[in-house]
Parts: sequence; structure tokens; C-alpha cells
Amino acid sequence: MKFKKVTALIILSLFIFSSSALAITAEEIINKRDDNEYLKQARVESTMIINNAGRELEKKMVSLIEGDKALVRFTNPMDRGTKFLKREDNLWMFFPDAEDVVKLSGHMLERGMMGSDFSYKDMMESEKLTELYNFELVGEVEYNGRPCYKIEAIKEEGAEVSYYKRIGWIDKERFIGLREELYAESGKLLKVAEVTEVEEIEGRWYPIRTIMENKLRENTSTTFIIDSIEFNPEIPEGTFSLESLQ
Amino acid sequence: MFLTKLAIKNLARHKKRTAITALVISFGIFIFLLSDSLMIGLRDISLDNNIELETAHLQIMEEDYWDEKEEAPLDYLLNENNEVINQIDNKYSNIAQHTARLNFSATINNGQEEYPIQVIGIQPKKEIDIFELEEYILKGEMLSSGQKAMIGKSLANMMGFEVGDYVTLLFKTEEGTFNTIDAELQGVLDTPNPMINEMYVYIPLPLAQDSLNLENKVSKYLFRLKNRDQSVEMAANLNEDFRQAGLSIKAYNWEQLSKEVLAMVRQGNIENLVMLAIIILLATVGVINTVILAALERLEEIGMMKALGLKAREIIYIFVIESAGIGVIGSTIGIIFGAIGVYLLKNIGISISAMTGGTTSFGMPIAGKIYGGWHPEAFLFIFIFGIIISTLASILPARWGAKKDPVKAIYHR
Amino acid sequence: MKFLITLAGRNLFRNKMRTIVSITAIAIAVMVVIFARGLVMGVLNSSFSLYVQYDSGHIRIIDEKYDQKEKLLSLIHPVDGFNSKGIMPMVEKLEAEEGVELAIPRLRFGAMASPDEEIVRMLGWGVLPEKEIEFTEIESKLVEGRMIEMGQREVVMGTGLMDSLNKNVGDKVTILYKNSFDAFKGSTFKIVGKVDHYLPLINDRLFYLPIDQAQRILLMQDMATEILLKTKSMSAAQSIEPQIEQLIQSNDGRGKYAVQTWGEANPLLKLFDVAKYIYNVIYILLLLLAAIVVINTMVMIVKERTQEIGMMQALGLKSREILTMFMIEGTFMGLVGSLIGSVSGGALTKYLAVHGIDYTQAVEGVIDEVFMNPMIYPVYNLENVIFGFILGTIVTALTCIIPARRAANLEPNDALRDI
Repeated sequence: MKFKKVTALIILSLFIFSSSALAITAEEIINKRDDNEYLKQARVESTMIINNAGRELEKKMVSLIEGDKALVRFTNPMDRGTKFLKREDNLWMFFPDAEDVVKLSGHMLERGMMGSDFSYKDMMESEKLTELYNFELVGEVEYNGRPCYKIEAIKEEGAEVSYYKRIGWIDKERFIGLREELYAESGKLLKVAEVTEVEEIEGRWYPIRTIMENKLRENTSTTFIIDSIEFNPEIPEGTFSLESLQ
Repeated sequence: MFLTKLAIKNLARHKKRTAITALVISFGIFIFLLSDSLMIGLRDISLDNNIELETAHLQIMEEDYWDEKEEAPLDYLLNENNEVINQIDNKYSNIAQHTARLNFSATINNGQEEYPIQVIGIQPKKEIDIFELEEYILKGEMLSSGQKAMIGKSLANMMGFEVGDYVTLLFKTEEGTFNTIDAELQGVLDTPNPMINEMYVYIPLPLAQDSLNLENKVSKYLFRLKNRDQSVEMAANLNEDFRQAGLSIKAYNWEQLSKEVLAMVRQGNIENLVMLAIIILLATVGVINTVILAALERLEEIGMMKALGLKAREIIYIFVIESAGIGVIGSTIGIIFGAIGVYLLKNIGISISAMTGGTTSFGMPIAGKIYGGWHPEAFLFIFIFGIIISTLASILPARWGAKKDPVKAIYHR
Repeated sequence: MKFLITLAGRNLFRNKMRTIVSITAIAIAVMVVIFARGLVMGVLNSSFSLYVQYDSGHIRIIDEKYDQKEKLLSLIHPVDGFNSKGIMPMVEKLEAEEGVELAIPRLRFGAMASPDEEIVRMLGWGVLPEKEIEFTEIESKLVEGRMIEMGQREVVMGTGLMDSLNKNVGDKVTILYKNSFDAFKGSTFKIVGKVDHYLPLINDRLFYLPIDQAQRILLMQDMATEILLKTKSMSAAQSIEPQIEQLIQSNDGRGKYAVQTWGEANPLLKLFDVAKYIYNVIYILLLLLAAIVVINTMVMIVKERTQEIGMMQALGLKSREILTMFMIEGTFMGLVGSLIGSVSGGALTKYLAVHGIDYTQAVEGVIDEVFMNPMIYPVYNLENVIFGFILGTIVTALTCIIPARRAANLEPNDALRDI
């Protein structure tokens, strides 16, 4: 009798272990999503609509991205001529009415970019999130008619990130983020990013229309729309240089 | 010494004349001292707002923190349980109370608007001993402990907060991670200090430390001394102690902490001097005037003295000594009454509403009192000045009188 | 009566020295009293002058919604003139109002610079240079270079600010700001002047630029964030306010503007009233002193003439007549002395009201800090002059009575004996 019990236990545990070996981990989900969403090299034309307690502003830009470098050129009438250049952790800005290029760092980056709810710092975080957070798969739910993985991430001890906790809904089939909730250390919900439109481009699923809502202020949100996107375009040498800013 | 005796006898013999001249001096001195005291009282009121509400008498912080104190950074902080502070407490007996604060920048949020402010984590029980905040509570009560906050009237109005509402504060911890505090509004302050009314949010120190993940850390220590005037000296002493111990912290006296207010007050001081100069001028005119008239009156006497054989020089001497004597009498009486007056001003003060009729020029209610200031140097100065003026004023008239022909003098009428 | 007058006149004339000394004393007392009044008002004005010049003016005109957003330096509630016709016509109309000495438009906005990757927060003031110079004497604080000129892309900064930015006069600086459409922008300006001011606001945070430049970069054509008015004094502001409100209402039907006097809802007000009260108390003390000086003089004179009084009584003059004679003498000296005193006091005040008392010399070496205002401008007021004149005459006349009465009531023998 003793033997039988042990064998049963062994078979049972093997079964359990083999199931988990087949199940996907939170980290893998995130990585797959990043494969879709993380831009290694791209040309993007986008629109940003900033809604500040009822006041609406629209900005249009063209961005060239390569690894941790990016060049952004504004094309809407009000901001035409303004350009940003990001290289690693540095950010430079060019304005038509200024005679030189302005370099920004430190606190400045924590401000909202152009008044939006996306801070420069958030945009600068090209470091993969997996290194800064501890991810945990907490369930599989349906969101907006799509089956999703629900992943909870809490920041690593000592990590210098803006949001203490992030909860993400990632489409099970397409591995694209559909919703993300951003929390403060106190547990208070600060922001919610919702993807309302996605598209498959060149075999990749990409969020086309994202709304970032500020939960602390009524009627305050930023909508980010991809007008066109080209993965792995030809980017000429010297694009990401200070000269190209002027 | 015969001449001196004669001079003194003259004073005694013509009491009325002596009295009249001395009176001008006394009154002039009395008014001078009262005015000086009132002006000091006025100056103190201007400074009080700052000291009693914002800066305290002395602050200690890291030197690097001082350079950036406007930004309320989370760097260069001190430990809350601080050996150095304890030692200071033991060593110096003129410290009345001290407290610690943790300052940081945040935005205050009412669900619609957000507004940049500075949060100050305080130790309420100790703060009461150092600052007058409690007296300016308009609604609600003084901060206690827990998830509570206290803000100024202007801020409360602008954001639409009432006592009992919850205010949301949004800020970043030392690691740059967003955090929030939802605190119950316990009290609303209405102070004469615009910064407090518009920009500061007071919360209990432990709440601040917890929320920032900065347990046991504070930005600075604030002190109340037994006597405000010791601030400058005390700061210097402390800095010397720190230097010797090789510490990077520094003590700052209230003058350094209130540069702007101080500048305006210093300007006022100069103007006060002009006013005082006018008072002195008027009194001097009075004295000179009296002395001249006295000399005119006594031409006969001078003639008589000359006829009796006294030389011009000796006559002048008598007059000068007399005047000096009057100066001493006048100055002494003036000082005594001045001291009484200043004492009353300092301890009882003048009620403001009595004069202004209870409201300001704009119809706002005004109350309170003005207290005079005690300024020993002024007493010393005016005492000596009174005697000197009195003495000097007599020289020319005396010379003029002494030169007159005795015969003419006696029969000058 | 005529006889008494003649007698009085002769007495005065006969003792020229005595008369002159008395009249001089009265004149100086009256002069001091008049001047002191003007000085007190001038001191009150100048004590708060910093606040008036750099914050509220005597009166301030803003969009009524601007008040709340002021700390944020909002640009969406500007002053754009009467019925949006632009600020300059509004400025001119305001200056034409009686009691308004200057109307100063300012366009204030938040900005920053990032010269060595450090963020330096600044406050920009778009101003009309000539008006600023007239209103605040900022020009006297220039230690290097010159003030900005309209139409030029230039700025003037304080010493502290230039140190933080590591710049010198002649350098260029790129300033970052948000325009009135919330767009983040940068513009480059040339630094043409450096000021040294003990107010941290001016020295460490502020930069001046021509208002037309500010309007251009912020996309606020013909607008300002506020218009400050300078009136004759702090007290005058209150009396003029209704008039200004009237002017605005009749020229602009939108109900957009708020007119604020410097003291409205401001804690500083308490200080001003307290100061005014204290200075008034001191002024009254001064009056007392002046009275005592005059009384003193009169007493001395009458005392001296006890013999004379006895003689007159012996000659048959009644006490009442003697008294009258003294009063005539006193009144005469009072009138003449007060006249001289009030004319010179008035003239002195008026002159200094324009030119100011410069006490820089007195201050140098005693106190190191450089003061913004080592000048006081006494306030000239005709009422003060008249008041001084009347006071001097009355006090002199009255003070003759008391000693004269006592002397006149002495027995002739006692009086004559007092030789």
C-alpha cells in the first residue's frame, strides 16, 4: 500500500510539473508583447490629442527610431519646426526661434511632454520593463471581447520607475497590450491607458489608437494615434546627430 | 571752584528759569524715546509675521540643502534622532524649543484641478511652541496625528476644500516613484503670510516620512530661542562648533532666512532716523531759543558780575556750567519719563482699534496692539546728546553777553 | 484799542532781538511741523514702495479670472484692452484719468533655461522700458550695460540669475517657455544689461524683455497680463478706484476686468494701517513738542517783563488792557512767524516732493546693503501748510495769555519789586 501511494504521488507530481512546464510565464508574455510593440527601427507618423480639463490641443509629428535613438519632428502648424533628438539618456530640443540647441536632463524629463500625460521620462524608458519590475500572471480574462492575460507588475526594490504597480491586459492571441493601469505606491490608480484600435502591419500587431487617461483629474487625457508606421525603414547615416536638428 | 558753586547757586536761585529750559530738554527727550520705541514696535510687527510663522529664530540644515531649499529636494537630509541636536540642546541653555521638518514638493488635487504646492511634515506638539500657527486657525483645528492635513485659506478657497474633505497630494518618492496621500483636511489657516495661505500644506511628520520612504529623515531643524536677538550670535557659535567637529551642517539665523522682509525693514529704519532727526532738531531749536532769551534777560546780571571784577572768560564759564547743569537735569528727567513711557508701551502697548476705529482703511477688521521696543542705546545717546546740546547752545550767547559793556548792560533797559 | 496796538508795536520794535528770536522759534517750529507731515506721508509711501512697484501697483487691472490662476502665471486670461481693441489705447485712456500718474502694462510668464543641464526657473516680464524706468527706477540699479529697447530681441537680468546661468552681458541665452496655446517653445535673446537688486525676485528670478517681444513669442498680440496704475499715494489709490471702475465699465461692456487696490484682501494692509497709525502718533508728539517750544519762548518773554507789567499797572492800565496788549504782541509774532514758517515749510516740502531727499551719502559706510530707495519723497499738501499756519498763530496767541494773566494780576508793587 505504501508503494502504491508513493507511485500515485510521483505520477501526480509529474503531471503537475509537466503542466507548468507547458504554461506560459508572465515574463514570456511581456517579452512577446514587446516583440510586437517595441520599436527597434521604425518611421512613425503620429498625432497626439491633449485634452486638459476640456481644452483640446492637437500635435502631429514624424518620428525616426533606431534602438535607443529617436528623432521627432513636429508638423502641426503651432509647433512646426520644433524637433527633439533622443540618444540614450539624453534629450536635445530645437526650436525655430532659438539660435542653439537646448539639452535637457534630470527633473525636466519628468514633466509631461508638451503638456501631455506622457512624461518624457516614460518615453525615455527604453530599458526593458522586465528588468525593473517583477511580473506575475494573475489570470486570464476577457477584455473588450478579446481573451487576455492579466499581468500584475510591482516594481523591483530600489528601481527608479515612476509607477509602483502596473496591471496589464494583453491579448492572448495577438500579444498586444489592450489596457494598462498605473498605480502609485499608496495603491491609488493614477492613469489608465486603453488601446481602442489595433492593426496588423507587416505581420506585427500594433496599437493604433491609445488613450491615456489621468485618473486624478476629470476630463484630462491624451490620445495617441498612429497615422502611419514603417518598420525597419532606411534611415540615413547621421540622422541622429545634433546637426540634423538645426 | 568758586565759579562752579556760583553757577549752581544761580540755577537754584532762579528755579523757574531753570525749570523752563530743562522742560524743553526733558520733553524733547521724552518724545524722542517714545517715538523711537514706537518705531521699533512697528519694525517688529513687520518682522514678526515672518519669524513667528515661517522662519523661527534659527534653522539648522546641510549646507547643500540650503542652496536648494526653494526646491525642497529630497537630498541632503538629516537624521531625525540626531546626536548633534541633542548635544546642542544640552550645551546651550537659551533654547526654548526645537522641532524638525521634512519638506517636499507635490501637487494638490481636488479631482479637477491640480496645483503645485510644498508639503511640510511637522511635529505638531513642538511646532506650537515655536510658531504661532495655532492662533491663525480659521476653521477646524490644529493638526494632530494620522492622515491629516492643514492648509491655508487661499488654497482652500481656490480648490474648494472644506474642513473634513479629503485632499489628494501627488508627489514622487526618493526613487522617483509616484505616490499619493489622501489626507483629511483638519484645519484651514488664515495668516498674514501669503506663502502659508497659498503654497503650504502641513501634514504630520511621520506621514511624510512614510510616504516618501524616508523613515527617520528630516530636511531641517528649527529653533526658538529665549530671546530673538540672540539669533545672530547663536548661529555664529553653532557654526563654530560644527566647523570644529568637521560637520557639513550649518546654522542660519533669522536674518538670513528672511532676506526680503529684512531689506524692506532696513529701508524703514533709515526713514525712521530722519524722523528722529527732526525731533532732535526741533528740541534743539527750543533749547537754543531758551538759552538766548535767558542770556538776553540776564544782561544786567552780566554787567553786575563784570563790575564786580569777573573776567569775560569766567562769566562764560559760569553760563556754560549752568547750561550743562540744566542739561543734566533736563536729560535726567527726560530719561526717567522716557523710561516709564517705554515701559508702559512695551508691556501694555497701544490698542490699534482705538485709533483706527476698529477697521482698516479698506473696511477690514483690525485688532491687536502695538508694543514698543526697548532700545537702551537710544537712551544713552539722547542723554548725552541732551547735555551736549544744552552746553554748546550756551556758548555763543554767553560770549555775546560777556562782551557787553557793563554800564550799558546794567542800564540796557 | 488803537493805543494798545501802538504800544504793542513799539514794544516789539524796541526789543528787536527778543522779537526776532521769538519769531524765529515760531517759524522753525511751524516749518518743522509742516515738513514732518509731508515726510511722514512720504515715508509711508516709500516703505511699501517695493511692493507697489513690483507687485500690485497702487491699483491693478486684471481679468477677473486671472487672480486665481496668477500663481501659475496663466496666459489664458489676459488684459486685451477695451473690447479687445488692444492694450495701448486702454493704457492711454487710463493715464488720461485724473489722479493717475502712470499706467504700466506688464506681460508676465514662466520660463526656464537649461544652460549646463541644470534647470533654472525664471520669470519673464514683458514691459515698456520707458514706463518701467519711470515707475521703478530700475535703471538706477543697472550695474552693467543698458536697459532693453522696444523691438529688439534682448533681455536684462539680475546678477543672481546671470550667475546661475553662467552668462555675462553680451552673451545670448535661449529661454524655454509655453506660449498662450500651451505649446512648448524656445527663443534666443541677447543679454544687454545686468541689474543688482537686493530683492531676490529681481536679482535671482526675473528677466525683463520688451513687451512687443513677449507678445510675439507668446502669441499674445496687443495683450498683457495686467496693467498697474500709479497714483499720488497709497491713500489716493482708494479714492480713485471708483473712478477707474467707472471708466472701464463705460468703455468695455464685457464685465471682464477686475480693479484691485493694493490693499484688497492683502495681509500687508494691516501693516500699512499700523504704520500710518504709529506715524500719526509720532506726528502728534511732534506737534506737542513744537507747541512746547513756542510756549516756552512766550513764557520766557513774559516772565522777563514782569517789571514792565508793574509799571504799566502803576501808570493806570487795567489788567484786561495789559492782557490784550500781550495778546496783540503774541498774535503778531505768531502771524509773522507762522507765515514765514509755513511758506518755507511748504516750499521745502514742495521742492523735496519733486527732487526727493537722497540719503545715500548718509547711509554709505554705515550700512553695506545697497538700497533700492535711498530717496524719500515727502508729500506736498496745501492743507498741511494752512494747518501749520493756523496752528502756529493760535498756539502763540493763546500761550501769551497764561503767563500774561498771572503777571497782570500781580500787585504793581510785587511786579516792580522784581528787578
